[in-house]
Amino acid sequence: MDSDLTRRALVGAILAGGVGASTFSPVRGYLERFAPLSGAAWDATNQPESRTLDSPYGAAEVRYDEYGVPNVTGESEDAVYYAVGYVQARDRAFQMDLQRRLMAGDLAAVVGEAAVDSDEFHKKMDFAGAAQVTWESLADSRAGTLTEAYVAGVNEIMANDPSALEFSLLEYEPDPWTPVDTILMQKQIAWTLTGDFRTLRTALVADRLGEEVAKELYPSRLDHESPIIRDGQADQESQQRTKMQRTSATHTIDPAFVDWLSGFESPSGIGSNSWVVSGEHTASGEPIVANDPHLSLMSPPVWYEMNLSPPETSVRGVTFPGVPFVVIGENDAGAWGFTNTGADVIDFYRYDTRDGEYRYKDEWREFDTEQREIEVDGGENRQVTVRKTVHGPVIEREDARVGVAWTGHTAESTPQAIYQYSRSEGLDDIVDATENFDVPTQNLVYADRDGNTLYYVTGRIPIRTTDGEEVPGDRIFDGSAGEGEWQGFTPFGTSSWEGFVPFEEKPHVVNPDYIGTANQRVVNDPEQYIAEAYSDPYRGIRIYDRLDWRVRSDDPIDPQFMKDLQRDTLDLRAEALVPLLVEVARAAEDTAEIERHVDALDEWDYRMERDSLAALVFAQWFDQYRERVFSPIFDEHDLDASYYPNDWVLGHLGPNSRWFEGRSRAGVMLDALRGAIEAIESAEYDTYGGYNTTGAMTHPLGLDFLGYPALPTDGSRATVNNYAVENPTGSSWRMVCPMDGSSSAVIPGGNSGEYFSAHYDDQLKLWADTEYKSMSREIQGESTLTFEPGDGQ
Amino acid sequence: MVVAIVVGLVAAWVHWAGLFVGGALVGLAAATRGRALLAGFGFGVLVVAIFVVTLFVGGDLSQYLAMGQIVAVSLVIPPVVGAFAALARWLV
Repeated sequence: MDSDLTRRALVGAILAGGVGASTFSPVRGYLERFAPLSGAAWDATNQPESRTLDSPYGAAEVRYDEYGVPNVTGESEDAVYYAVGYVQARDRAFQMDLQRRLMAGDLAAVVGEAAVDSDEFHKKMDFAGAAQVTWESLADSRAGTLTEAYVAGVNEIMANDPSALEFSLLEYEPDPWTPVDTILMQKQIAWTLTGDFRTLRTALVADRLGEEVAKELYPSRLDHESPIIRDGQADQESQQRTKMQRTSATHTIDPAFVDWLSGFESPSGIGSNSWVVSGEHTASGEPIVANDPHLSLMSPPVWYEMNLSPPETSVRGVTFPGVPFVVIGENDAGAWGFTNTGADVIDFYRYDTRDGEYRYKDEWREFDTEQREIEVDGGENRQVTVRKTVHGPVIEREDARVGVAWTGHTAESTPQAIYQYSRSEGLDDIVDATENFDVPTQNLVYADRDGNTLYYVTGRIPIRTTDGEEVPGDRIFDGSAGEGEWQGFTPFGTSSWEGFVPFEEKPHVVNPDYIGTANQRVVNDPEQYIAEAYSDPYRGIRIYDRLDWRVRSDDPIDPQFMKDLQRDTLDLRAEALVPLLVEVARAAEDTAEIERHVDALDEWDYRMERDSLAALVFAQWFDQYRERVFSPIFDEHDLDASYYPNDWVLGHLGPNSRWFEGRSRAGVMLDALRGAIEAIESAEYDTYGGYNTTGAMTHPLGLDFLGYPALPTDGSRATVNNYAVENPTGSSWRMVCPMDGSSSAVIPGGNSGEYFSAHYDDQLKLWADTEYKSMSREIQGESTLTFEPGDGQ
Repeated sequence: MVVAIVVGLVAAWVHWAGLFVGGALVGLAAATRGRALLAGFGFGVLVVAIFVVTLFVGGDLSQYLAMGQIVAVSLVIPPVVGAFAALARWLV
């Protein structure tokens, strides 16, 4: 989420006295909201211990366990999902409304002027339109029917009784929730995981710094030996395909436009870890699944945990508020987890245009044009023109324009696939369900209680063609010339997917002994173009190193080992660079004041732990080094830090690299070290834990008391125990599911988004200390909500 | 006076206008103008006390106290409004 922008806007709105400030005086706003006893802000206090309500979908019972996880039972699936809607709204209504407004481009209506840019982008991308067509295609499916029950449950709260503190702070009440809103949440996840403008940025850098430099900064392949599928393991069917040349960019885009668009990408650091180990190597003889997705960390958390037990099923795990079904978790048959593949499922197009028309191959066509309105609280409403071509929406700003093709813009059946996962009875069901998993592309790992394991890349991957020849998706295409076509794709309609990578040909392994995924390269020689680039492979390498060693040793793998690995804090960047840094520092003169720090680095085991001084120095040093290496040339060419390459590229720059022309690598390293130590001293940090705290995890409104307390924690953006305090992003859920044994999990924060709830942040310390709570599917807790069959309207 | 307080509390529970009602009523029930102001202020303090107790009983007190500026605003409102409304005494 473009959080800075939105946060400022929201805080501004509150300080100005809420939405009401435009029509009433601020004083009245304070009275309405904060007057003791009557104020809207106190609505959520003094909730009754338990209540009985009517449900048009049948009897259900909700018990909240000691961590505020709703345990839901019911006479039917529909009854259960009605209750799920109710509790999600009860616990996360504001978050749901905020996310829906963001995606639909309706944020300015609540927050005012500062959100207009964001709304403009989201309306032009017409995520709402994509959600609408997806809902239309799903409405009659089982997932659709249950979504309707869910929506009814949500509206019991959202339309009738929204007591969340944030609504009263901003003085507005949410609109009723609709099934399209639920699908919009799914589009948001898909966009967060696959929506990036890397192609445009690379083209811009190539334009400014030259093709060679761009290739060096953003290589399509990093030199390491730990892809997800290591040689000899791949299962996908082979097909002869012509080898593709990586072509040079011949089209570029206005830089200010690229910068503006980049603001709507998800933050860097989005990624995840997962690994599955088969019974071959475990103490119990049954497989174990571990997953920790890395997403934005904030209050309330991105995920919501629930334990559902309709008749005939039992499923526990996490979902995104607004979505009825468990997305990552475990049922009676098995457990599954996802990490981001990083596949390239988005392409960009330029066009020849004239007066409301664009050229597409031989003909001139009219842009499919629609006028939409952006409501602006406390300001003038804006008109926005939504334009589309055969490829998808066209984003325009002043004179710059780019067409976007993205797999999420069509009707897709992922919600049905997700529902099928929770109902699955084993490996075959999961594989079947995965065929419907259209967006986003994820590395799925799965294990079932029959001893099967699975790795599969989910999601549709386009095979782009220009004049019938396959081309990679890493450049801007000439849409008028018909370059980069996606066959079988209809934006804002139903797609046949015929020009996409066939299911059996997508990378997968059935019953691997063990597989680890951490957003690294999927396979060494893929049959088709999968991704423009992958993430830094540090975590991928570390996970495989530890799995390999353990497997070769005499000790079998057990849940304790899996947790240990999720806790691993070895930073491979440090292992690679610190010895050199120490050497440089020792050889230099005038280093008396930094002696203590250099000694610490020299004695260090390269673990990013809270009590370590060396970890603190390294973290600060690395970012200073990065800035000093790139900023001279980047600044000169008007490219800010968002264009800097990833850590791996920086770490592998040799002393003779062009980036050290006119200076020396040793000199830059030393300068960075001095700078880092200065920064540490002025901020008065003693150890890594003083800097690396959960205090960075804030609430969208930016109000201190709504954020989390600052607890020290371990890990960096490059370690398996993942926490990037600079964003913040990191392990947004940790889960270890042995097929034979008890499952454990933890959420960074608390399951309730209700400020006054005892479960607002009751798991934060557990998470910060990489500890776990039970993830048992046994129904537990005191009965809090009893739903009786009846028409409660 | 007691009736005034009770009516005021009931009103204040439901709507912030009740603070004005309560302040005015206790002001009118007071013997002198000076006492009226005190009564209005005291009514406000009583509202705050009841509020704090209900929060405490509901387990919400520590969260309330963490709310920064909002705590200050909410604590100030009842005594100020109560005293202000008690100026109604000056009209009688």
